[in-house]
Amino acid sequence: MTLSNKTVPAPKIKETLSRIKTNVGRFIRGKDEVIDKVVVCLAANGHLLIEDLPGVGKTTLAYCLARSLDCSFSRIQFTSDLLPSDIIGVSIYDDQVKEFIFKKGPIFANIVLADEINRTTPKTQSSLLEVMDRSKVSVDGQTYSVQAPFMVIATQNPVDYEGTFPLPESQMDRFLMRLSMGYPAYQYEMEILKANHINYDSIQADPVVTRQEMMEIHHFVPQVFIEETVLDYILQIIHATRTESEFRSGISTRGTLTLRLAAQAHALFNGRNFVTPDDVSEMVLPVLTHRLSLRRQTSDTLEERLAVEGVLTKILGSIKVPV
Amino acid sequence: MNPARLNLNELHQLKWLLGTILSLIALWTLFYLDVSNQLFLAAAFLVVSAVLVFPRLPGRIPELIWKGVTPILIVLIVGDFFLHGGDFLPPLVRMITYLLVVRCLAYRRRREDLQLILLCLFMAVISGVLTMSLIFAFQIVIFTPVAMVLLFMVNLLESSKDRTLTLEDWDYFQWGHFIDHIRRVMDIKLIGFAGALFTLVVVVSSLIFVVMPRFRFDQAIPFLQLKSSSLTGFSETIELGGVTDIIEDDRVAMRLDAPSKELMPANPYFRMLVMDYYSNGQFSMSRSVRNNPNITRTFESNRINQSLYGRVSDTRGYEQPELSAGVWTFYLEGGISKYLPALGPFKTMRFQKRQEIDSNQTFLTHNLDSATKSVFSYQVWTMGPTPFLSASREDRARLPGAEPIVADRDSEVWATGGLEYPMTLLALPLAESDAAYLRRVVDEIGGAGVLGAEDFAERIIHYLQDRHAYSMASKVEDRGRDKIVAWMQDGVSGHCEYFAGAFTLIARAAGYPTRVVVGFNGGSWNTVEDYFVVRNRNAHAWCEIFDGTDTWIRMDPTPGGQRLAETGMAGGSRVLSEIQGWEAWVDSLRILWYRSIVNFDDESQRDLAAQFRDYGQVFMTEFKATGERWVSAVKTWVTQPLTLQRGLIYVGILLLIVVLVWLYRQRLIIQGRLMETGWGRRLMGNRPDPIRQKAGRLLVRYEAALEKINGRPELWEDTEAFHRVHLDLQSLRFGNLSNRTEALDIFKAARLMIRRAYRGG
Repeated sequence: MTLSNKTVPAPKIKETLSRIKTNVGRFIRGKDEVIDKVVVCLAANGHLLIEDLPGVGKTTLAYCLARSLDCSFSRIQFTSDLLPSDIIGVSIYDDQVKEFIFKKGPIFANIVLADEINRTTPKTQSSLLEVMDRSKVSVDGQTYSVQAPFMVIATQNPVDYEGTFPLPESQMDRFLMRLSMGYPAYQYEMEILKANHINYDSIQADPVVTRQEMMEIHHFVPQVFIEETVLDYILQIIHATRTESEFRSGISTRGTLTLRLAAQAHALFNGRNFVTPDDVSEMVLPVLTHRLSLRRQTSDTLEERLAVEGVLTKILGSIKVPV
Repeated sequence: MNPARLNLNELHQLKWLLGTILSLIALWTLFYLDVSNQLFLAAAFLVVSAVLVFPRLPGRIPELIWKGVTPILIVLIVGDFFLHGGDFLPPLVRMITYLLVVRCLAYRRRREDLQLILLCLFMAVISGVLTMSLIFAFQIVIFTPVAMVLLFMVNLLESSKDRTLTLEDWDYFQWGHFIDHIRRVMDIKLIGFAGALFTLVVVVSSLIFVVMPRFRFDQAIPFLQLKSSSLTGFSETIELGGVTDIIEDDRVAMRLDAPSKELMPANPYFRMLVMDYYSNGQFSMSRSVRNNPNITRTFESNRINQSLYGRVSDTRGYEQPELSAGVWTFYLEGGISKYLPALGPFKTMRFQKRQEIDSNQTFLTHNLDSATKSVFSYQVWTMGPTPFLSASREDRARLPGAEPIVADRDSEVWATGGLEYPMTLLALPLAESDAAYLRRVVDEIGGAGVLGAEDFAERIIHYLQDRHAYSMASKVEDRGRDKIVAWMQDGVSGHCEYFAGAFTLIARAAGYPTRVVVGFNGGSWNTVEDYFVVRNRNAHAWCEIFDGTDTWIRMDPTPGGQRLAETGMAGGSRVLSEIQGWEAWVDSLRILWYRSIVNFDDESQRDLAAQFRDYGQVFMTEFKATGERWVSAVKTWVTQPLTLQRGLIYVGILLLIVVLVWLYRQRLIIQGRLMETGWGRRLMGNRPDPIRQKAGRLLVRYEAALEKINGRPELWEDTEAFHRVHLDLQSLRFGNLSNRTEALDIFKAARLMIRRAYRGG
């Protein structure tokens, strides 16, 4: 694989990404904005947390995305009795070769759908930490790399607290974006009704992007040019979150780097090899909201999310956009 | 961007402190207004200063006190007005001072801040129109910006409702920190903007000042007409020592703009008032002069016209200064005298406004109703600084051959209706012993009645100067004698009044009518702004003696006084004394103020307008002439036959133009390339790339234009082109500038698209 370090083929990448978008859009109707962001997250090689009420299409979206790529896909249904070994795999004694052989778990796939991630215990949740950060799994002193590209798409229900374990902040920080779906509009729901799909298993989505193409995109995203005033804009937003009295704490440096990466991916998604301030402001809510928590108490995650989004929008409005 | 900001509390504190500072400035202006007790003002100033230094003070005043303040104030103010019924201004000033202090002693609401500004403005205006001093110009220059900033703060804090400060708000206040914080909040843009605003205000007010109709506030507003008493040495009656008291005062009494330095006499005598009557050390203008309408004419006018040439007498062979045909402008300081100094007879004296004037046709002196409180300026056209004045018809008719009138001071002769002018010029109200002494002196001098007036006068001067030295202090015990006779008999030293008095007595005893003149003698020339300065210490008294036929001759018997032979320009041994350096510079600021502000009347207005017109005309003529010269020069050059040399010059010029145009078009690219190099960056500093800047500005317009397209279906087929140019522009602004060389084309395309979006073509 020879990849040029010089020019970022922005139009070509835009075309590739829009193939995914179209493909997913065939099945998820009327959610173009969400799909855009999901594709951006995919391009940025980040993990995605989809958070919404049950039955609005979270899993379907993740499934369609996975199916659009010519990659391996596995789905893990997180339950309260799930163990870390059920995810990453287990070493078992092979009688024939007389030694322990590592039996890879479902995490060893390109796209992993972690369904209802907050239904499992923190112990099991934390088994995802290393693999999400470093794309590596350590078992019994042995380190195994997962295959690139590697992306975790997790879903969770923000309202039901019964029998759930909210993700700790360190875990939340591993996700590039958190998105929510929302109900479909009337006309689109009518289309869904007519399409007669009962569940995602009946969806016949064909891969439209090869693994090779995906690797190329991941290679080019960090090379997208960011001009100094735009960097300054990013930093001003980050600093504003740190001085905002409503937040318990501001965005970490990892968060800053993530925002930059997401803006770069967003630029490429729009066919540009440079980042505009609009790329940054578009990415602020999906990338930053789940990394911030309020100082005051809220009744549930949904309310907190809305409040944080409100403060972030206010901050965005107060910072001068570079022209 | 400046990250430091003042919070709401600090803004309120700043507003409050500014209000206090404004009050201090307003109180300061009152100090120069001589209407109120200085001690009272000082106390008010002290209280307000204390509040400024310790801003917590108002918070500590118990609520109970405030309940009692209003009734106490009412009683105080009403009582003050009642007790000073006739005098309106001093209680008014005191009332404003009370109100101002009360406003400073409490944390103010918005309404009260506005009241405070009004009070301060009122104070400043009153003292301004009444003093018209240079210091007021300085005060108003500080006052204006402070008031402007305060008004701005009041407006700014409008949205914070009617909040007032409380004691708790000052908990963490420290002057040092506060000033430091203010300093950090200041940014260059703010200061620049404020400076520009202030300049605008100054320019606009100057324009208004120049074009508005002229009138004097202090004369237009009745209650501002404040009378001032003149110095005792310059009033109708002068006791011995009255002039000398003034001499000890070094303040400036008068400034004079002469037509030129050459026309200024080296040792000028400014006549102010003339006194004909003498009685025991007291000179005065006799009642018969004051009350005789034929001698003292009272009228209201803005000018006095005299027949100058009839007033200057024959110079009898002495070389005399020329009569000046120019304009002399006098600036008489406030409170000096109601008598207007002049170097001699003149043709016209002009005032800024109609005045009530007493004009003494016999003495050639002129006075106002009373001494003005502020600087009084007047102009004199064509003045004769001569020691020879023509005597009036009455003098000529009745004085020749008249005998001295000697009688005891208590005699009926001096009673009202007794002695009439001009016989008062020969009056000697003396005891017989004193009169006998004077006769002995006349005999000792010799030549009385034989010699001409000026020769006999010279003898008297010699006699007096031989026996008496000059001294500011003289110890005379009269023991029943006439004061001046006692001085003569004791042979002690004395000042100008003794010499002038003794000269008068001797001359009158010898039968020569003599009068005493009081005014200024000497002064110095300010070399910085070229004008003449007279100080109070130049106050002087001298005499005028009647020559027996038709002329009054100036005689100055004081040692150092001018002799007749010295009065000429060439013959004078003195030279004009000059002041230079710092003192002269500071004083010339004041004369600038007088010349261009205080003395700016409708005549000056017309002059200025005429000057502008003349400048305009001259400029236009010059401009036209230069243009024509250039055109004809180019024409001649072009029409000459073409040679190789000229051909090369043409080509060179053409090339230069092409290169310049190219450089101009490529300036952004060249500048940007330069900034990519290390030394270019060092040269131009940390400035943004010019291409990025320009693209950014265009992008804003372009995005606005893009929105237009939505409403214009006929442009929809070009949407792609619009978006391509948009992308190009964005890439110039935010991209890595790999397409820098195409920048000019992209800008051109973008401008074209913007035009299309708006015009649709």
